[in-house]
Amino acid sequence: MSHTKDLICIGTGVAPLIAAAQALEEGRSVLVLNPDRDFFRENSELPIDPFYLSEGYLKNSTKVSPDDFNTLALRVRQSDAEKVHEKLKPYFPGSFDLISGDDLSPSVASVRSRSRLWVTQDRALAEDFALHLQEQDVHFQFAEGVRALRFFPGISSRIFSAKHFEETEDYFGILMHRLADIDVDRYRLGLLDFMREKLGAEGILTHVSQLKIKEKDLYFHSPTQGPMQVEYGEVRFFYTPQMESWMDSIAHGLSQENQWHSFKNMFQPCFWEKWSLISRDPIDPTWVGQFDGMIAWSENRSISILHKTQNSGNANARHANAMIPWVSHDSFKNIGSLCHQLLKWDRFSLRAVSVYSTFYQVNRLTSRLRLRDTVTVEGLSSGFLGDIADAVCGVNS
Amino acid sequence: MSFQIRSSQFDVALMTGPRVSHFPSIGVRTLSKLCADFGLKVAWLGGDELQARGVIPGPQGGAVVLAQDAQARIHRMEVRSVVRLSLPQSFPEPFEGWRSQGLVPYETAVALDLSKQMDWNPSIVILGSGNRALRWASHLLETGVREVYCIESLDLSKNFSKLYAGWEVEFRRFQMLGGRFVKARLLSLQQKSALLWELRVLDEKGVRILETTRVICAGPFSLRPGVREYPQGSLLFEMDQTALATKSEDVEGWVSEEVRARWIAVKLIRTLVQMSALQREEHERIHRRSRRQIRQIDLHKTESFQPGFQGKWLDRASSERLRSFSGVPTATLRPKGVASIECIENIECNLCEKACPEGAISLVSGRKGDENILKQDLCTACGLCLVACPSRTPVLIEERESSQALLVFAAPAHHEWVEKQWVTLLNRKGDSLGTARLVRVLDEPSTPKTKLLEVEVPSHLIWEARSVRKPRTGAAVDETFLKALHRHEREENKVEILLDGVKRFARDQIPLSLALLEMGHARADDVLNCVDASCGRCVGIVDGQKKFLCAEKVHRGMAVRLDTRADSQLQFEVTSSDQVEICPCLGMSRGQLKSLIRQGKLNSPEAICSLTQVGGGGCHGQLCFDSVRKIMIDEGVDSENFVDWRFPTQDWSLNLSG
Repeated sequence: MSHTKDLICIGTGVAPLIAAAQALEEGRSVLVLNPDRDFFRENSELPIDPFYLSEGYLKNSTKVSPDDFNTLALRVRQSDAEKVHEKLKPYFPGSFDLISGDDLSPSVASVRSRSRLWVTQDRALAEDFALHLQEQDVHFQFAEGVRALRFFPGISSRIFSAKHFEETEDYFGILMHRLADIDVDRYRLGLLDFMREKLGAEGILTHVSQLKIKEKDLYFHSPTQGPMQVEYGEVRFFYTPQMESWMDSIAHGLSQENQWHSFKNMFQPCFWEKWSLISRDPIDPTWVGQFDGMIAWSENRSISILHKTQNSGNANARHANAMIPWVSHDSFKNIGSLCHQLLKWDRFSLRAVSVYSTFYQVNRLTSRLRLRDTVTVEGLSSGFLGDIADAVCGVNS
Repeated sequence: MSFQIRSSQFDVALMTGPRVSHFPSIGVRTLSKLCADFGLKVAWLGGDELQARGVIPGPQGGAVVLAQDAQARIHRMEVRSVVRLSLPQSFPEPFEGWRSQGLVPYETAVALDLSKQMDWNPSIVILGSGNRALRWASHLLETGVREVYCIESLDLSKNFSKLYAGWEVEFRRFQMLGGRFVKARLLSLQQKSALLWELRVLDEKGVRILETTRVICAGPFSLRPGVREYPQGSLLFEMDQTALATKSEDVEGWVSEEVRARWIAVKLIRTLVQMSALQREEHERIHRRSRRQIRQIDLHKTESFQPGFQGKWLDRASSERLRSFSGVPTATLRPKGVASIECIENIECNLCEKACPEGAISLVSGRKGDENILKQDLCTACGLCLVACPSRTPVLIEERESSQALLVFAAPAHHEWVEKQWVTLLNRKGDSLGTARLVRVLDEPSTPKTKLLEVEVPSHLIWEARSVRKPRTGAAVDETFLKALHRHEREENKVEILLDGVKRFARDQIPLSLALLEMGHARADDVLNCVDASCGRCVGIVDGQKKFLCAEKVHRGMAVRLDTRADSQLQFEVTSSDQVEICPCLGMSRGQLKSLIRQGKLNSPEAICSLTQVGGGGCHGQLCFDSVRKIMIDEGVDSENFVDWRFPTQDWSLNLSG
């Protein structure tokens, strides 16, 4: 079977879908291919923006470096819920609401407006960050002790007891309001559904294999369509960790191994865990807390904690079995420490763990590799830069 | 605060899901032996010592499994494959009033029966009519329950139950004992008093009202395959645990679990092992055996046998088929009698063959047609095959040159059989054929459950009479009934507790949720009786503290306060099936879930779970997920083989001060 397409988007996450949607709007014919069994299996879009801009942090440095505060403050300014909603709405096919933090059961995709509490035990660091926020004209509050901690999701009422009151004096917090929290699941599923409707069963193919790129044609095998040959105008690969071995063979086929090798070395894998714990105290859904690199928020009657694994940033982890870094001794230690030292829990009950794999860009020289004039590889590190908004804006830029 | 995580790597992890009681079952043993023979490292996570707490599937297949041992230490295992044993679907499609303590899953009913505190009289309704349901029904009938109904509601248009090997044998036994089989749709369940419930069903004649002590869900309630791999190709399997502790308790369940385990082993070995030529040969042999067994198990669907009747008598066709069966003797005019093996259906059970010391029974080769199943010349009429058969199918026939013959039947041992008294003869569907004299109660062979009765019957009934019962008497003089009625008076070891401010007597040192069920004061949240608090539902205030009742033991003077708000919200004013609550943890009705799926245009099980949170509540889907899956299928979402690997299978706590 032979076809002609202006653009072929290849990837496993949300980026190829956005690119395809954009091309459709421009009136181009599109084909979306996914080497994986389905979209989003890899979870390369984080459920919440971790606001990590520090490469140092991602390389397992324990604290955010003051050098990064400028970009972090800029990031906070850009994350205003209304602005993000305006930015994303045009690209989403369907209802896309801006809701308040206490709206617990939205039925459509939305941007939730939540307050963010950034907590540290280093007063100088907190003051430095506050200064940068002021420079960026971000509205925030500075708080100390119990006043800083009382909004942290899941915090025990024990912090008000005489025994713990003194301990809380070491904490300093920056309270930022009306920041965006995007409903990632609904956004990407809504987009996928729309694209499936637009392109039909033959326009989005999953589990494709044996891909070969010729001068004008692309050959591949699909379990549903069988062997196919498609004449293309442009091919765009949206690189995710899942596609690595696949991309190796494609670069080999195009005799671009060296270029590809140096390009992919600019990206380091990053593994995340979302721990869902049962909180014994009521959780305020309007706040997202951030402490020691972990982000905690209320989700479905439990508290979710996003935590970066120890092996993140380790280039070798990419080549090893990707499951290895998850729920390790360090993960338990870090989560335990958050619960015990900050939240003042004496025990925790674990409800669920889900895992995410993204990558971050070590060297920001370029995020695009041209394998041929009409064949490019895009490296959109959405997890690193923040969340799905980066992927959307990255593709469209 | 300190954590010690023990890390290890295995090829295969065999783990149990919630409420699985027998570990390691035959499936686990078969699978691990085959895998170990091929050099794979196998981990067992089940039982009391090491319990699996969660599975995190890897993107390239395999998983990380977390487990906790008896000392609450955490074990982290990287595994290439997971096989999780789960109980088959526990509840039927939700109907009005299904969320109540009147509807108990089979496992809870078994626990109640073992405690010997439950009085199931006067009537019990069992939902489902598979082998397990029929066997349980027969057990209840034998222990003196006066009326037992088996209700098949899964697919009224098909003879669903015949999908199971050995069903005919169980069904005949059930009918012989006086059980009643009804094909009907479930309408509602409503409480009439502490231990009396009213179940309304709709059968072909209209609405039928059944008054029952409890409604027991034995199933099967779905036609899902017994092994699911999800995601496809990930080597993460979920397997139904159908085997009980011993083979004789459920031969069909035992054999099917063994076959499933062998099938998985073949797949795992092929994928995970670099085989030598010799190993490949061995692998091929196992594969062939597995395929043959699967074919054999399926044979009964095409070669089934259900006797036809003309009135109380076998019709000509059935009679001819029976007499020509090679397990049935051709010459019965012998001084000591001869056994008649009447399992015409092609089933895997061969317990009688194993029990026969003379080698007179060859079921395996007999079914292939290589030889007769019964070698009557070798039969010494010892009766061992009668006591070995869990379904009490074989009989000994001793024909005489007179109008009377002798038949030897297997009968429940706990009945008080008195020699020289009259008993009622029953045909293969439980109809009375008249009375006969019980000549002798044989002391040998016998088992704690079974005794052999020698009964003198008219010669023309030797191919018709297949069981006996004591003549029916009124309840006032029925010994079994009276015994059951006064059981509580004899029961000792009860202590006084305070239940919602009222003094009650409960057995000492039993789980509190079980005690509530025995007393008739349980709530809908207590019916899973999971013992390990894995459902997270049975919360109550015990001596002033919030506790899981299934994990608390009864002791003298304890004060228990139940939160009955949830039960009081149970309404019997449901006007449409969409209003039936399917997820009690989230309080979600069927209609709400359907509209969420439609509104969000959700087209994969993962999306539905992620966005609606079904199955993510306290019980982790133990109450609702089968119904949710059915709704997904109705809404066009392919979820037949979906396995919810969400972590964990149970709640667990980490003591940070440890």
